Amino acid sequence: MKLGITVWNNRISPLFDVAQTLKIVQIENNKITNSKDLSITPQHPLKRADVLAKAGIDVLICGAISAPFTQMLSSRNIKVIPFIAGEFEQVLHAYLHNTLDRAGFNMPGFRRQQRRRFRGGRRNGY
Amino acid sequence: MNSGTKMEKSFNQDVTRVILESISDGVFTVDHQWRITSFNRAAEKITGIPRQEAIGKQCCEVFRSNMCETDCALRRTMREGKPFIDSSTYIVNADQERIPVIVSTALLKDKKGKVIGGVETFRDMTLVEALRRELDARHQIGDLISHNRKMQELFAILPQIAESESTILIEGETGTGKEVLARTIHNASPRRDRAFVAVNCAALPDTLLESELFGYKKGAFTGAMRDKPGRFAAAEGGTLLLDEIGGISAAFQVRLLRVLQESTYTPLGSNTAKNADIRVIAASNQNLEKLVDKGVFRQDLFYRINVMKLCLPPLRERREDIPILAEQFIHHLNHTRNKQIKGISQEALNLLLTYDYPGNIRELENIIEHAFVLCKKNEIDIASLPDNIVPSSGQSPPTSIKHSLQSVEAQTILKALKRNRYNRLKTAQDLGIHKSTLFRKIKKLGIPLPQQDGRFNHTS
Repeated sequence: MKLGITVWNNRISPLFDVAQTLKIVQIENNKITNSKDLSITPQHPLKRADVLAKAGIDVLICGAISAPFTQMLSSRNIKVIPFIAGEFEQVLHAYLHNTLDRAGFNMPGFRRQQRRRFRGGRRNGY
Repeated sequence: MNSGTKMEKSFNQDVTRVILESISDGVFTVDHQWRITSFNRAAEKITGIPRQEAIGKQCCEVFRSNMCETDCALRRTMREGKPFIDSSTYIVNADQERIPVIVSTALLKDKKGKVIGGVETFRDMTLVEALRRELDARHQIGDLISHNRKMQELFAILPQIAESESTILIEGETGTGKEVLARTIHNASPRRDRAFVAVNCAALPDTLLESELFGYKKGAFTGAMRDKPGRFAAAEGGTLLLDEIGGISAAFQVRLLRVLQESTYTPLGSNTAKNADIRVIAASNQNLEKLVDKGVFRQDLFYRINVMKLCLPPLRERREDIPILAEQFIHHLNHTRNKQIKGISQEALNLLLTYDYPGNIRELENIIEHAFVLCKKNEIDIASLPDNIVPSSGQSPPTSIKHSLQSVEAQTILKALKRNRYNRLKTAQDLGIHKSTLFRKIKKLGIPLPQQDGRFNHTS
């Protein structure tokens, strides 16, 4: 499974729409097997979604994201876990240990139940 | 500090707080670590974030603007020590909406002039943007014209789709304007200066289609006297529309899939493959997904062309466009036929609005052309319209909106009844209404029913 996380200054990038770095983490049996950075420059939703789909991303963790981007990613079967804030390492650790949904990683103003609207998330409740 | 000075300072702070809380511009301040130290009422309202959640958080994670990562105005102010006024940007709120704002930034200093952080004020420009959009509202892109909501949504994403290189699948009933849409996409794309080539795939048998698309070399078959470039060669650098793609044979689907995957094709009788720099738009009047389910259309080819699917609604689902389309056709015919028809009479328009248009826009165009030929006045009236859309009973056409709606309702119910062999329960289910509602409407609209009960017709 390939996890994509948009990162800026070692934190989750505040806005996916304009994020420039995507960390791609390969996870097998809940263990990281590979990790690399991908520079993402295209700005409009269609191209951006194409770039992520081409990179084989299954799940995306990002900060704020506007609706057209979510729609395009969903149409490419990429699950989106949006409005996450925090240090990259801590977020990745929380994702692997299934604790990302706990308070502390939500962006200000974002309620947990709002995330249920998205196709994003893991099987256990997002 | 004496008590008078203290009181004065406290008074000034209170005044500042009241002013900040009463203004409609959002204001927040940050410290040197970019943590929010104050957040006014308007900032709460514009961002949708309560003050207590914002205070202490990184400003970029609260403000979430498109400038944060690359061109933060506040960062520039802190670096260069000077204010920036009215930078345009947008922020994204928790509802995933983009809110256009203009931003001004300045340094925040204490009484001794020491920089203690920065201050950012921002103004919600949503209303201004909405008004600007209203003024620029586009009901037309290229030859496409519509007031319909679904079409407007399509118009909104069309420039982005045109700009991308993705393969597009256009689905829509016959006559809904698939080729017009494909041409519009081509004209708005970076390939607009190159050729747009349309091929009707269902019109030709396999062998002809292959030579038509890929071309052939001299001597490839009897009668091939010279090299002939195909439609792929003609569309090089441009756009190729493969219309009625659902009608191609299983064998040709395999060949086409290979061409689309490898972006190369081989002319008949040639040994060397040619590169194809072509944007492919596929169109179908059938639901390709259903054809895949039936096993008539290859799944892999379907996924290859279904990168971006656009659905054109039939004309009966965008009746609001009938007057504007009719007007466009009259305008066009006036030019080509050198006539001066001013428009359509209200009665004739009412009839046009209630008709179902199985042939969609193409049928409307033909109706207008028919009327144009027969029209003796400067306005198209009922007498000039084709017989099939004029009620045979000789009853006068509905003249009010209420009557028009009732007429459409009656036609829809009657068609559903016929479709379900006059079984009322099935008809109600088909129409998505309760059977009592159906009975009430049949009675109210005076829809004639056969003597026999539809429930006993199954054996027929």
